Amino acid sequence: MSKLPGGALASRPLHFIWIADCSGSMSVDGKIQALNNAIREAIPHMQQVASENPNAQVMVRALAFSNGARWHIAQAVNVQDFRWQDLKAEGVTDLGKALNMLADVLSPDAMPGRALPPVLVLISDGQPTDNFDAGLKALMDSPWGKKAVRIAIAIGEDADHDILQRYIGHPEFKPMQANNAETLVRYIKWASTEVLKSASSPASQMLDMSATNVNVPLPDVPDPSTSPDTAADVW
Amino acid sequence: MSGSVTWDVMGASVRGATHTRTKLPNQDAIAWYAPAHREDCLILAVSDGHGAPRYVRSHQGAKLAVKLAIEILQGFAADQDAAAELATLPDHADGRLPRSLVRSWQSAVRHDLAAHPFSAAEQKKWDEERGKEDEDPMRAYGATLLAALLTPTYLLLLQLGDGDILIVDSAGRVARPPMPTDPRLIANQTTSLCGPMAWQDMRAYFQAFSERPPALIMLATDGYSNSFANDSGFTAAATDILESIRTQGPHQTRIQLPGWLRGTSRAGSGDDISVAIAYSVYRV
Repeated sequence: MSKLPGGALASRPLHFIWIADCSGSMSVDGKIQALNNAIREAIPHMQQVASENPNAQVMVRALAFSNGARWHIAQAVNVQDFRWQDLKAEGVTDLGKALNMLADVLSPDAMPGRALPPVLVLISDGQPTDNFDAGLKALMDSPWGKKAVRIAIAIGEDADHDILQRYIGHPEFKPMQANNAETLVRYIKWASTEVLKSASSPASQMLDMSATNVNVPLPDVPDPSTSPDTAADVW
Repeated sequence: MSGSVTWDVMGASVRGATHTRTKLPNQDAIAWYAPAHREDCLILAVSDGHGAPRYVRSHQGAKLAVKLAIEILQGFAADQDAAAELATLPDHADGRLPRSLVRSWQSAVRHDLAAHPFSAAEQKKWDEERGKEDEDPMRAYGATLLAALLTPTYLLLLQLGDGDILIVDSAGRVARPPMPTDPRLIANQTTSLCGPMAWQDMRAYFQAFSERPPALIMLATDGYSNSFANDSGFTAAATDILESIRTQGPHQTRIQLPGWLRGTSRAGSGDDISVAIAYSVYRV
């Protein structure tokens, strides 16, 4: 037999999803543009990390929420082809709707059983204006949503940490607080490189249905920016 | 019929491509019992030690798992009361055999820990990585177990945790044993020998051979099935290996198997892969 036994081989899919707050408040003090810049800046680092692990196929999507929610990148795109189009900010903060839409794409029918745990990175500067509880329940009722690596970045002092903490669902992991553009860049880069690296290794562990379970070892969170050149806490 | 069928065995366990890159050992283990008089019985076992960082001795847990599975199933096969046990096993996961396997493994782990306490490096890793509720160091050895006991007249399969068992008939048709699927086993999470009440998670299947026995039984850790784009690609691997045994012969197939698995890990999951295969041989 010249070829390997069996059918086509493939690396394991790893779905990485940005969930971005595009409410009107994100337009204040340049927050939405800082987010656009941070994600764009992280792309080559993300691609580098992905290329170092050929056994994980990183697929990227983006979900935007304001008045309702919509897929900014609807079709999961290979990270090597991932490009970022700027988001615009306008409207309210319908996070619940976004979580419902996430649950739809994280259903067993939509995700192959061989996939790696998805990474969900939520960035928000405010408080939900719709039914967050229903959205969170839908997400946590989906097998892949419950087992996803859920990261939250709070932008500015008005971000609702209690809500973000409930989304994370683990008492030891807290939302990361970004009060300036440089810190936001750090956190976005951390999520899209260090967390991605950790999630892309097939590190199995004993099943644990408790809320405190983490099925991907999370790397240490970087410190906020303390650069003297940075205007402190602009948001 | 039974007098004309014997079983033969081959297998391989290879370090995954990701483990090679990250300088981790092969955390799988494989073992089999194939006596000279093959009409007695044949036993296969594979185990996948958990890969998360806190499982600092999972490769040793996997080795203990396959060693004990062979020993316990040997004793089980020789036990005159085995038939009575088999009648209840599929419906009673808390039966004697699952309990015996889990308890023996947990006892062996505790003995190993007492004889060989964590090194300073292991202790540091364990302390850094274990969860708050994860205080029993036995869990550092966490592993799965897949085992098969084959005789000329019956087949017994046991599975605790992820991984795959495939049965191929003489026409090359592949089936999974009718054991209940466990929807919890996704996203790198698996039931485990180190779990509380682990024997309750053990799935079992018994089949008496009323007609011709299967042509091939394959036990594989999940690194194998996770390497294929879809399930039909994976099941085709069992068919292809049977075809290789028939056309190239067992010797050539046995030689090629480790290379196939390494190539599969490299282009697929990157995980360690262990495959144990029993194939039936008719002697007219």
